[in-house]
Amino acid sequence: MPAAVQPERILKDLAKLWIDLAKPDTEKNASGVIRACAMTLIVGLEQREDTQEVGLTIAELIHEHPSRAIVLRVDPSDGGTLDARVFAQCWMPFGKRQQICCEEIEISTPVSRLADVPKLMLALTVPDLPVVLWARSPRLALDSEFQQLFTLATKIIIDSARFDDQEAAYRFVKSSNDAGRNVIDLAWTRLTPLRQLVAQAFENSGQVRRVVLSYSGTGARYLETWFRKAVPQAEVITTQENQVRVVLEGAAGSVSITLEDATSATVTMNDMSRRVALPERNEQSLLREELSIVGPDPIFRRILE
Amino acid sequence: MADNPFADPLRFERRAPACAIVIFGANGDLTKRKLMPALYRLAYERRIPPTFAVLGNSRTAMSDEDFRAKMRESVEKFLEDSPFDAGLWESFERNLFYIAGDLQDHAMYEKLSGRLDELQQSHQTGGNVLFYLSTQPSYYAPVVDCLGAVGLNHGDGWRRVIIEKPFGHDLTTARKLNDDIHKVFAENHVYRIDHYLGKETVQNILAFRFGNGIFEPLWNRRYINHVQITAGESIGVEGRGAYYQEAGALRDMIQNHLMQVMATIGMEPSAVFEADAVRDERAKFLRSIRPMKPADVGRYAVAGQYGAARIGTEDVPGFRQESGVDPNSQTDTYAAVTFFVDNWRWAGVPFYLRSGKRLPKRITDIAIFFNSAPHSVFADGTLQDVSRPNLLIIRIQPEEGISLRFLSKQPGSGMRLRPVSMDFNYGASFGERSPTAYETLLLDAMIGDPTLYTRQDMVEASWIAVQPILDAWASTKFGFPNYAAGTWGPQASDDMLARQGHHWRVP
Repeated sequence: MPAAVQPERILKDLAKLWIDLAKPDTEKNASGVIRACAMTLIVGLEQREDTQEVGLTIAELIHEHPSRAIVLRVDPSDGGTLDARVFAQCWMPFGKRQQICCEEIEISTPVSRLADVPKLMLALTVPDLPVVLWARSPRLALDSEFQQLFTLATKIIIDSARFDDQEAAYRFVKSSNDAGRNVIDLAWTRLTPLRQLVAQAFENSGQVRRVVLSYSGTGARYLETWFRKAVPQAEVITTQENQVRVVLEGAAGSVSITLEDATSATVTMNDMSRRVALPERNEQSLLREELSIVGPDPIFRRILE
Repeated sequence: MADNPFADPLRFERRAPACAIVIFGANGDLTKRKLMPALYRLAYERRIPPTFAVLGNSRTAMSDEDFRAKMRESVEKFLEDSPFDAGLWESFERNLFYIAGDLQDHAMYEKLSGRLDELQQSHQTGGNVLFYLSTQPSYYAPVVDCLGAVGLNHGDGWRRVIIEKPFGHDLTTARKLNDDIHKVFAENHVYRIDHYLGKETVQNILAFRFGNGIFEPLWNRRYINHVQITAGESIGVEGRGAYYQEAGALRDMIQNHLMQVMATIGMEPSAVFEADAVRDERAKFLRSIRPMKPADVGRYAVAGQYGAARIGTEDVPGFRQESGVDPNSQTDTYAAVTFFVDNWRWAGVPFYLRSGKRLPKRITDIAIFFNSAPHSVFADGTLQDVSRPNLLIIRIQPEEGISLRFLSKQPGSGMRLRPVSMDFNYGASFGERSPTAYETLLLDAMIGDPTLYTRQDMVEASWIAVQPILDAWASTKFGFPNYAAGTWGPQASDDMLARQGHHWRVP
């Protein structure tokens, strides 16, 4: 469904899309569809990024976070023209008779036309609902034209693990938050299950005297600062091991948490070990967690201070 | 985790502290179908610590290994909406233990005490113990008495007891049971479970009412005409004939589940969302229900019992033909009651509650009928449906959600109105899996949050409201069966509403 790239035209196409979907003219949608929307999700990508993978991620995310998804695909080679199309993502929940549908807008633009995009977006975000901007491409996140979109966003998500220069990513996250923007790094989100195990282990370790941790990437920096802020009296030692591991040494004993693989950890308290299942930490699950928290994360802010 | 420096309430799910759970009746249906799948799921979601311990008890002789094998079979069979992880089970089952013995044998409790001491050391439970009474109701008082006799009601950590419904058979037995329990456990350690209160949509009623500014001003006698609460089951007694014969629909559903739902709909907002503040308001509402005079029971309450019928291609037996049921049984498999609430908010507004077995479908919902517009400018005699009131439906099961019905102009020339529905579908807006009621309630009890548990005064207030009906029905010889399986109940139930100028909505 190609459309001239004017906000009014895109909105008309969206309205027509819903009228078409509401017609009970096929056996498939005989019971009509339910339109669901709880936010606007803007995704910033570069042309070379895996379209199918991102499409699948969005399709999965909207099941839990129904949204108007606007995928902005930027061609860094400056090829092509500014273009847009609209379509619906529908699914039939298990055992239900009605499909649930969310709308999606895909905008392609050469990098030279990126400056035209913010005004377009201004008209396309859903009124009265949060706007989450997922800057999947590191280059776009640091692009000043793309950053014009930040003013629209309630929350901005990046993943420092995708940046070649992780120090630059950290500086970007910190300076943006210092400037009052709500920017979150998925490297921090990745730590949630481990941090949760630590919180639980604390109940068995008692007052923490020493923390030994082995982790890598920007997450290591976040984790170390988190420990230093949470238990300022404790000595925090970082090591480089092959496995992700945290040891809490406290008044009541020692607890170690070792990640065995992506979905399990072993928790050892004194002499007793137990395997614990962990949620899979792929891009979808990280975003799912972030889309559940639209406001600022005070603990993340505190560790950036 | 209030004093935990690593706590992150924004991102971390609520978690139980280290503890042991003792299940009396561990070989029973409830343990297999609900409790163990709920505990497994809580472990799967890391809501309970890796070192928790479950100690099952029943009369059947079993080793820990036998018990684990049996529980695995149940969890694999009854786990809802989530996968079974064999690897996790291996770790989970190492926390399951079993002790055989008679519930009235003091020696068994001595052994139990010894096992709990061992678990406190080996599993670092901190001496915290949650006792779950999943036994026949007649054992509630003896079990609690024995726990007290061997000193298991106190220890190094907290001691709590969960009691399944029914809490008594009537007001007198409910009071006696409460007295017996209070000899051993203080009220704040007693968790009376009503699994309806653990359902997400029942909890959502509070969010809907008190989290939004637009509904509460309308939530009173000025704008609400009447309320209908329906809990229908399409199945019969399914092998529970002997139990059900002693209970009946009024005791089994209305006195507890539906009256708690009614209290959630009708209670005043609490100042804070804290256990006792919320429960105070629920209790106040239940105490405001007008007690029925014996002479009014025939007018405001209807008993029914289903007879045999053919539903689709299946011939289904009547209640009296079910296994274990007296062929002359006077048990109500259907009950409908009109309650009035004597307070400023609800004076004059009827609350109609009905519940039955072998109704056309399985459904639980609440319908709030608003008053019609005081004057209809469209009522010129040619237009249809102009008198239909606005209707708010809160669907509890099977599909959770909220619908608001209002009138809208039909497209085209002329002013023709048609009712339309504005729907909020839980599944569409929140795709994530909802915890089962037992997951929610077990976790709450371990954390020590009794908000969704019923308190002694709430239980007694609801018995006070239904006791006149029970008394009247006990001395009545009903002409049962009076409704055919697969229908919405007896004609008398429709007549009860018709006398108030209302009719049952077809859910």
